[in-house]
Amino acid sequence: MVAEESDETLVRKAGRGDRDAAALLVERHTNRIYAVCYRMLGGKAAAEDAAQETFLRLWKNAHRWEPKGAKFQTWLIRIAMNYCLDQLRKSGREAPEEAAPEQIDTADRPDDSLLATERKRQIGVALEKLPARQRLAITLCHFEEMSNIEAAKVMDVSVEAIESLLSRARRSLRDRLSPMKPHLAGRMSDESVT
Amino acid sequence: MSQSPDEDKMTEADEAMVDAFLNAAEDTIPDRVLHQRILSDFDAVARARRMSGDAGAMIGTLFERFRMATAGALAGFCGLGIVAGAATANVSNAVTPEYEFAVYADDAYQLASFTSEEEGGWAAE
Repeated sequence: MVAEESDETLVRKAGRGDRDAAALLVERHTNRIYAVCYRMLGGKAAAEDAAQETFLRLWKNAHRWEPKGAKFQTWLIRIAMNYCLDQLRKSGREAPEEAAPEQIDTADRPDDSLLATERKRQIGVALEKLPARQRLAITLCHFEEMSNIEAAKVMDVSVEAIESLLSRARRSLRDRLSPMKPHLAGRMSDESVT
Repeated sequence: MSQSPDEDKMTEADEAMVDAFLNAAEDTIPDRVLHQRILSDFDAVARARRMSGDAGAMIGTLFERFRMATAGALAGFCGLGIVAGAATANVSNAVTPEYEFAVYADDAYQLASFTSEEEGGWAAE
């Protein structure tokens, strides 16, 4: 059955022009690739373009793709990551490695239904302020639930380097978001109940 | 003012807070349209590859035919040479004494005519 086939088999089939195999790969990986691109680039349109470009590179190379020890998913996320880092470099949006934390305005807000959306936006901004590689480490390990070993393979760094990136990213997030804590803690617990 | 390593260390509460913030971050689910866009790209790449494959095959066929045509032409020329050689094996083109005499006589006549014309010219002067 096609659904049980490995990614590697599907890539080979897609490389030979098998559309069903390609559709299955898209079904399996688009959400994750889009999510990584979204966290990295911080926008829907940019993330869609990045995900599309990632898959385009896959289609162009599928006929000569060789595993070479890396899992297909690792390889695909790496393509997405490189594309996103390129885009950030080109646009000059890559935050400096040791950018100073920016305090978030914690003025009282009206208690309305937009508060949750606003909080998500604030968290998104805080993530966006992280240096690109820290943001990527957080994206892979937290949002994509990869192990540090997997994330290290994607980013082509040592596990220690990933741990260091994660640690710095989390400290930076804490510093940026802690002013929101008293205001948002209750909201978060309310939402987690509902 | 820089923080000391102890001050900068994440407490369990800090870790929990950061996790809570990250868990509350925006969901990222793409529209289904993105799937269609990606598959359209696949179709375009597959179509381009098929076309380039067809063109390559066509060029290959032409090249194959051209190579055979060259070989055929060479073989044809060789064959014609052999046939022509066989057909003219008994033909001799040797010059006969009569022909040689006629050629000498013609040359002599031409030379004589030229000399008399020149003489005629001087006489007129």
